[in-house]
Amino acid sequence: MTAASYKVFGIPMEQQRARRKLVVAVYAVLLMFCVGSIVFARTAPIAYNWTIYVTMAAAMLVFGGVGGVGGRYGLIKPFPNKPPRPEPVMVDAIRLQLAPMTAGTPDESSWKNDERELSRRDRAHYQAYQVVASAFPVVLLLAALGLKVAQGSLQLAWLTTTTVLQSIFAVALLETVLAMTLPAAIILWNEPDIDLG
Amino acid sequence: MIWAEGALFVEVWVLEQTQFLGMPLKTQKQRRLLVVLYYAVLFGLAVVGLWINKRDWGPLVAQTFVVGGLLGGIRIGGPVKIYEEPILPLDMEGAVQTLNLSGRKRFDSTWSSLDERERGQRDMAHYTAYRILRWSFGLFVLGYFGVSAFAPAWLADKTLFLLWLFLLYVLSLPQAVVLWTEPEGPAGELVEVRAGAR
Repeated sequence: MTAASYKVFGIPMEQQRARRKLVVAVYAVLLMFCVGSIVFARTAPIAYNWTIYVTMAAAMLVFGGVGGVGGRYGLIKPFPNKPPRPEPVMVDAIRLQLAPMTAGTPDESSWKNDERELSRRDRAHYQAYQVVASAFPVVLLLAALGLKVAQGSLQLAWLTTTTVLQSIFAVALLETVLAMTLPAAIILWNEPDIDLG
Repeated sequence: MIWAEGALFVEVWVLEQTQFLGMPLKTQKQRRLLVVLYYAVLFGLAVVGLWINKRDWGPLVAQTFVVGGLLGGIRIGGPVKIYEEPILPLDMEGAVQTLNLSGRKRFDSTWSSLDERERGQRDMAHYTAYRILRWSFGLFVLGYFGVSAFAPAWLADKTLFLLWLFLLYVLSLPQAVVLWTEPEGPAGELVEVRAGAR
């Protein structure tokens, strides 16, 4: 399951229970940022940027599964099943001085998924796809509702165009967060305890 | 679907039919042609929808699941086998008219749940679709903001229609991936299908 380490911020993650706590904690933080973005959306629309940045950090540094440069970090091996991009020459030079044995190309076992891991990866994406795809009809319905309110064909005291737009923003933001993190979270949630012997 | 491999018949993918709307689907080329045609039709629909000044798309939107699931996967009747066990319609003409499962219509003999290998192919298609979707969504958003700089009023008028088209794309993408990526059989084309398959 893991790329290079079974630890996140020094906390061991071999146990399923620990991983599930991690997933809950990460989503709690992301939810806080989402709520913050939605609350501040009126006065500071750019606030959603912070949610995206934090989600990217969580996906790359905690959950893993990200390809490219981000493939070096996180609990899960890169999903694209390709070796992470080589580090800059400077980093290699420093590493050679600090730990000569670890320099060079990364160990294949740290990034290559075996058949079972590929199967888990695909399954997690199948499940995540259902969730992500189901958000689109919600956005569509809200947009249709917003249009009716804006045209005046639907008049409810509590429903304004601003309210509908905020709802669309909230759904789109949550969907973006989920699309970036859900497959990795599903894997971390479902993987059984790891016995390192 | 079953390919001939000498005397051995090997199941290789999740195709439900060898023919769809009169189009044969035995070879990879034919399956890819179906995918291209499907998206060409969607593109044509997009051009017409953006061109004409129609505001009420209600009847068309009501067909979202039918159009989006035309290639199968999420609904019965398409070339790709349905991914999950479907909820069957009530058998109102039958002798048993209850709300439990025994009162529901049975599928014809062609339907069967996916085996382990087919589930693997379904999952793999969704992984690929997920990756494609991330790029597509980014391009969609960029394109939307790009156009909104030049024609905001026109775009505001067409937003619902564009969202609906994107929804169709999201619904159909995994099935398109299945049809597009499945390789040719050893003999070059399909020679035999599961009993009862059309």
